[in-house]
Amino acid sequence: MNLFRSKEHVHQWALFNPESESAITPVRDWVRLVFGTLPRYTQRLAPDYLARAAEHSAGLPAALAELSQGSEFWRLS
Amino acid sequence: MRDGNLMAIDPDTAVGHFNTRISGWYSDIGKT
Repeated sequence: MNLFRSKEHVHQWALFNPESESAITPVRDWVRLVFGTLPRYTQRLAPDYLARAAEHSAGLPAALAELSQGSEFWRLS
Repeated sequence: MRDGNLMAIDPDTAVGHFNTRISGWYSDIGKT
């Protein structure tokens, strides 16, 4: 994930892909819906993290769907 | 990093961005 100061800075980026417009999302939403809540990210220091990685990742597709409001760009497959 | 050149990121405007579709992340797994 690239981090930018603002949406306008994303548009100014020379390599910006116009098809990725729906992939510009506030960092606060990322933390609220994904990085701060999913065990895939919150349990990374757990001793059994790798053994439970698949279990921890189970909620990722739904979280991305909510974050993207169903955008096709975010489909995992 | 020099003093005065530090540009604070405003958490209210900061955004995350993926330039390619997320499905593309996984398409190369297992390829050599």
